[in-house]
Amino acid sequence: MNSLSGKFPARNQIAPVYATAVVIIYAWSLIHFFWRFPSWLYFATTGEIAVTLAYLFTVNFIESGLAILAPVGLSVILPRRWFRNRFVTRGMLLVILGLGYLAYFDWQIQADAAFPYALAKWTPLIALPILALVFLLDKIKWLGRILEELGDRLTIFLYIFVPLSALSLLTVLVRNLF
Amino acid sequence: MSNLNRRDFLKLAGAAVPAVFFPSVVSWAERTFQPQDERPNIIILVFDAMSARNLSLYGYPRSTSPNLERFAERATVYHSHYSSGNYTIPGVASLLTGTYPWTHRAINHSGIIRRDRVEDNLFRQFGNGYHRLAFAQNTWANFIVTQFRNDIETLLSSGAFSEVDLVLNSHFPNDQNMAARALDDFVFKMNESPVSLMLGPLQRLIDYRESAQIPSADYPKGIPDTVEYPVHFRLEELFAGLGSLVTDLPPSSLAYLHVYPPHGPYRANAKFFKKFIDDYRPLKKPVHRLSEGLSNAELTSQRRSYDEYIAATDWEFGKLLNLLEDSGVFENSYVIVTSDHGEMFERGEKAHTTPLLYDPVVHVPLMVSAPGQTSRRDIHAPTNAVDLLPTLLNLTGKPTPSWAEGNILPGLGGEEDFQRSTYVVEAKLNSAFTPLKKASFALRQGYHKLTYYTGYETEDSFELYDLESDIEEMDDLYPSLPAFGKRMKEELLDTISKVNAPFEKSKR
Ligand SMILES: [Zn+2]
Repeated sequence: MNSLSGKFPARNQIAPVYATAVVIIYAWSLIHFFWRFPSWLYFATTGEIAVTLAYLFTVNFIESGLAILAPVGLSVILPRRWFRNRFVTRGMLLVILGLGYLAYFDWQIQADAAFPYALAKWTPLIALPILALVFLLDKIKWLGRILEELGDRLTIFLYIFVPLSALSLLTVLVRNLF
Repeated sequence: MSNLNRRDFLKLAGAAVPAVFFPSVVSWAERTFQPQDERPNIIILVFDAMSARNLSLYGYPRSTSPNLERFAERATVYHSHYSSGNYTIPGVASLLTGTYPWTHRAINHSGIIRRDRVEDNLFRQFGNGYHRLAFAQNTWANFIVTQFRNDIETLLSSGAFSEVDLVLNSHFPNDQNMAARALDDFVFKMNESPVSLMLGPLQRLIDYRESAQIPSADYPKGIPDTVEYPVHFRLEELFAGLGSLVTDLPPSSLAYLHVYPPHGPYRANAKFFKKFIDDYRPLKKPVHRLSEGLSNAELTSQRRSYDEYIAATDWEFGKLLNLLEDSGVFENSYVIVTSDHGEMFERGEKAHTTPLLYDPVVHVPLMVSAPGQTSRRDIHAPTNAVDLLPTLLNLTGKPTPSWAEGNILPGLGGEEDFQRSTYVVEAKLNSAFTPLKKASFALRQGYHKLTYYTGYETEDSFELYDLESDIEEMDDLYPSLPAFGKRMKEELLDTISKVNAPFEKSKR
């Protein structure tokens, strides 16, 4: 059982994978935020727009936590050499493909269109081709190098979004508890 | 940023910082009900988007409202009652503040009342000697109501009495207004691509699954929902819920009950679906240049669905009426029935997302049944949603506050006044912080109605109608500009410049 802690990825391995999830999740929401922003200027105060952003970042914070659970979970469950040893590239691939699929799914949900239930129903099965792709693409050496390089650079965003999210969470808590 | 200059923006930013953190500490103590002597209950029932023009109560050829007519037999019926705006936000804000949109400034889609006037509301005026309860099934109405959170003891979720309620703001009682606007109206708003990449589709999935599991054979088009928010309900359940709520009200209650029907989507149940496939052909009217340009066939079909949905709603109201009669609620209550705005199916425009101010979209029902009243009374002088606040205060022995812009309703302490001026204002495309320059205004005086469309892409224009001889608004008197029209025009322009003045100043 002592292998469990050994299979838990190191902090410097988690950071680039988490940063990848953070960038995708926050960017998706921020694009919507800036779409709505001009109409808010018509009736919302700056403070209210800031609070809206605080609620948004709090939701994103929860989502990013959920997103990192998948690669960390796989790393713990699967044998070391399957996932843990190549956590950064495989984790990043998993996060990019998984969230990429969700972005495609979300894009299918548009105004007045029926909820794509057939697609939703088969979504758990999508996990299989995604996992297959993760292991397949990981074999491409130059892609692995690019991903490691990218992950390294994306960690810079953690210095922006993590403090902002912490402040957002605090704002939401204070407003609701007092 | 188009209409906000940099200084305004910085000023707003400065004022906003403390408010970001402590939204609800203001007047916390106000929220506790301290009953004094027992006074009649006041029950305000608001049907969303119920045009007076589609009710048989007011002479519509289709029998859409037999139960409202039954209620009328024990009420004062107002025949020329207007909402102060042409959609939910300004309509509800005027009704609950007794001020016009140019004052309360809740004029935009998803907009709210200006922050320094939030305390000027009906609930606060009633004070904590009343048990104040509110239910706004329409989320936009809820934006306004949650602004008065500190003045309301019992605030029900907009998903109350529903089959599916995934609305989030009621889980944030201390910050309900911001939670409604940030979470329900943005992050988890339905009907567009989800803002939240992971939790958004999850919410949609739950909404889809839960609503799909509801048996809906008795609703041919599916059970009603609130379109952009995850609430699905049955008319019978909604009205049964209201029934038990109203019959259980403690003495000295003020209840604001705002139901979504007959707002679209028009989903009549089987009993009323296709009920109005008949010979009725509404008068064909010319397409207005500010309309969407919809075809007459489309409008006729939409109107029919709307009429059927009104009839279905009226049927459920009838059951509520029976219950109120049987339980003696009418003996000790004022019961008010009205709407926040109308609905239109003419001139190329449907429903109420429009700059237009023709009667169908602004002429709304108003009936007030006083405790023990058993006969009908009819009032024909023009009245407006802003009159409700001073009237209700008067009924409970309270003076009209100086900021109120309405009059006490005739028959309830006021006099019929055919000379007074009442207004309707539509300015959803205008910033709430700047003078009203892109807007529609209507001035009603006696039977005359002057409408002014300004700042739109087409040239500014006036229209003038005599509603006594031309209720369908077909014969525009403005081109010949009679003397009374000229006076009305001067008065309207003068009023607009007066209400705009404070906003012009703050820009300099
Ligand atoms: Zn409405």
